[in-house]
Amino acid sequence: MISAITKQVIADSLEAISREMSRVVERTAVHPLFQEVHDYSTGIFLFDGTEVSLVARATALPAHIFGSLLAVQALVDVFEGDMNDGDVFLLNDPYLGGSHQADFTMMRVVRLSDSSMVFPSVRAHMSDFGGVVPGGYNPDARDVWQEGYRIPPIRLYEKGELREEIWDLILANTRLGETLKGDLLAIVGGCNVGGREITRLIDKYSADGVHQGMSYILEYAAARFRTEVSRWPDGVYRGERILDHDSAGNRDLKVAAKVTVAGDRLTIDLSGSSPQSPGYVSSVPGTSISNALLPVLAVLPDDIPPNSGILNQVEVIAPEGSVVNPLAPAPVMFSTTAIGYEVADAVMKAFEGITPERVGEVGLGYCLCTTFGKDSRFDDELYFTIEYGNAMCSAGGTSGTDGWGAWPATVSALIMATIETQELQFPMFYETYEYADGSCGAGRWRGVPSFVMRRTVAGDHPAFVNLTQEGARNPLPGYVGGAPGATSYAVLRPGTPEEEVITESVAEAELRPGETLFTFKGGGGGWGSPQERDPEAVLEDVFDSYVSPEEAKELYKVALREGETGRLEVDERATQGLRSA
Amino acid sequence: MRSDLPYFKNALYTSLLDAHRHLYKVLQSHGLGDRTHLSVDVVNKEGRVEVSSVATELSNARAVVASIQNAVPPLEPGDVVVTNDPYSGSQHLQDHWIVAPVAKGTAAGGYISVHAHLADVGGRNLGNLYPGARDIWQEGVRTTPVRLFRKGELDRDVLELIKLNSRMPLVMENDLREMATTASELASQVGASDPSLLADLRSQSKGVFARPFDGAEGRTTTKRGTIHSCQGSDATVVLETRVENGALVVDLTGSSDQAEPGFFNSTIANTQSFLADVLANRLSGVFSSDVLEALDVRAAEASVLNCSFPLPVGWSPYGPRKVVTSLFQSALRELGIGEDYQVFESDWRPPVHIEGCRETECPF
Repeated sequence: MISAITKQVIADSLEAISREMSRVVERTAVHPLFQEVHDYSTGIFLFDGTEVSLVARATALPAHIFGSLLAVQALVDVFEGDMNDGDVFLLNDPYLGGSHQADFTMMRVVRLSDSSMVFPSVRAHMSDFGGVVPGGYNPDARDVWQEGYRIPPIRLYEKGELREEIWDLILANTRLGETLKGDLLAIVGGCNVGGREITRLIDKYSADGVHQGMSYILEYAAARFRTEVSRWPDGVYRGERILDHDSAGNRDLKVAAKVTVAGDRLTIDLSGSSPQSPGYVSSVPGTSISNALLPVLAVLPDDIPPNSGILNQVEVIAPEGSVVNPLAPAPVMFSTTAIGYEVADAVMKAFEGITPERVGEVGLGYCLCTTFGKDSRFDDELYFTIEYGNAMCSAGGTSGTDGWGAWPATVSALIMATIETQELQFPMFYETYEYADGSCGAGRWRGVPSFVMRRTVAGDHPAFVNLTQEGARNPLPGYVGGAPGATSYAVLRPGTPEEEVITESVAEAELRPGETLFTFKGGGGGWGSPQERDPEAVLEDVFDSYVSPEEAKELYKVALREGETGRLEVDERATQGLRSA
Repeated sequence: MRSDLPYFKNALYTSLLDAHRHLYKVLQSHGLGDRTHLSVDVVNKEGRVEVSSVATELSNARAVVASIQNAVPPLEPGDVVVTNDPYSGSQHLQDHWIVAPVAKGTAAGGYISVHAHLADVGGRNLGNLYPGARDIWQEGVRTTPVRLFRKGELDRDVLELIKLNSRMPLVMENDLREMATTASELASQVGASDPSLLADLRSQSKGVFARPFDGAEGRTTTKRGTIHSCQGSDATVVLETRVENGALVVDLTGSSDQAEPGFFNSTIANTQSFLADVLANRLSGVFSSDVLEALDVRAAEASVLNCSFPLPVGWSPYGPRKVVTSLFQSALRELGIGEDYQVFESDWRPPVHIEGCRETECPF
């Protein structure tokens, strides 16, 4: 038996190894989606002979890293008894442990004993994997084959040796072979570094010692979780979130969440959600469960390690055949964000009745824009990119803080690529990329402003744009009396006779050189009543153009006047009158 | 196919036909109505097609084996390779090629290759025909040459990859296993066969192609045709045939550029196979590489009959094949090369409308 201090050292070492894996991945990946935007997650998993646990993680997107539990489980289901040190496995299939085909999960085996193994793992969003549309986001998809190449759990390296024919097969099913090759090597590198460092840890503390360290941190998290939950009021709490559409003509898809607190036990029941959809939004269990757990982690104290010690304590019910647990072969490509984050928002809504001071936006109200075409600057090479300018902003207000930056803290592992990088790598010219005026979800703590982007096609070739706009009718919600965020929309060729306003989906819209895409992405909702917002903070928002003087008066009940120096100031008496009326 | 020809008495050839008939009966996804969706071939270790059960895929068989020799380590007994990749020799993604080695040191050496048009390989449309395709991935999944069996052991990962990427996974599994078994059994049979059988086939083949074009020396004929495009412009085929110094030159350089979108592009291997099919049948020759060697096919790169990766090719064995074979038949008839032959493959099918065609009455 090793000491508690040594166990903590081992647990911290595993976190450090996860971070080191993350650095390797970040510094060696190729596509900007990956190395700049950080659309990947690294973590370490344990299979103790009976169940799979997430032990440590870094730079993690919750939907990635919690969902990877099912990936490791799928791997164990297929290969248990046939896994060796140095084996590296790969999968991307949404119905076999994945989330959507873009997310490739790679797992390396480090054996602790005959029955237990550790898996340093990376899940990362790959740029292209065949299918009908470059990048896989196909609003017209009606089955999963129309989205891209499906990879079940397969062995990519056998005892450290690459299986070259399998490698070639995977690279044959992408339009961006060199890019995918580089990105796959980056995640192989991450797994290998993880494997090497875990082996060193075993050399230092023994396999049993490492296992003890892992068990310790899992049990610690579980105990802390139970203590927290036992402080919450017992009861049944409900939340709901509506998604505008599924890109297949179906509207107002519901995610219903019933959260039950009973002593130190927590159950999240998603029964009552809409049936699975023909469009590409239905969310497989890995995604739905991850997103259901996201608000739970968000309302817990920050110092509880987010590992399976917590996750295993929560029962999540996702009925089969529903939009939160579709039957194959429903298309799922867009579901990691929508319906995925609708699940998170619905559960967070239920938490308004449990921990109101900790709730706030967790979703994205995601609008998708992918673009592909040929780049005349680089020998007409094919390019593909996700345009995050149409996806941010969504951070909502929370108790004590306005919505800040772009996305909520729960997704803040993602970093926006710079405009300069975008223009360098893709034939586009950005004219506008900024917060919109007068567009915040009002509240005592307001949401982040909406975001506007105006982007023109550069080069000699047309660009093909896939757009899926959500939130035109159901914007991001406010919490505890806060107002919702603004609604979203996009415009193709604004100001021209061919102008086209998009509030739902368009597939492969052709924009010729010189033509423009404009997007307006609604920001996050507010928290608390706008009339409780500090009038001076409202005044600051007016100075920043986030709020107009008229909105200050109408929404926040704050009267402004011109001061002696000509500068606006709060008219305290008039404000008091407005607020007490 | 004339069954009165001498090589029909050759036991090696009849083994191929037996295998062909067997697969035609048992493959579940073989539903397109004629026997040309299948072939069984003996290919030597230099990649020469010694004999094929049909003449429709001669160049493809040669190209597939060449790709396998490049992509996969030397095959061992019990190995079986699979590919469907048009840029590794297959006519289109639906066609799966199974290749097994004939035992070393035997008379034949080399490989048995079996191909069949299987049910579905993902992509946009069930069955993998998509007129609006701009690239091969929109049609379906590429399986580049990969060992399905290694020394007799099934590679579970390869099979699962293929199955998972098909809308008809059980049919695919059944058919691939059946093709692998047939190829392996035939490889054993050919390996153990009397060497004189192969020598006899070679001799008959060489005899037919010794000096077949003498009567047409110096003559030229040009034929033109059109390949219907469901989306975009129709493609023109210009087929100039001439006999030059005893060689049959087929010059297609006046044909249209490759099309995008356009699932009717053809790889050069496909185009060569279309032409070889006609020539072999008109001359009543053994279906072997000798037919290919008798042809000097010239087609511009990036043209509709010699397309470049990653252009889609799903319709190539239908529309383009029909146009090319029809023009070539006519040209050879005019040049007095060979005899007309009856096509036993069914050219009839119920009226179809291919989704995405710009014309209400799609000529397909």
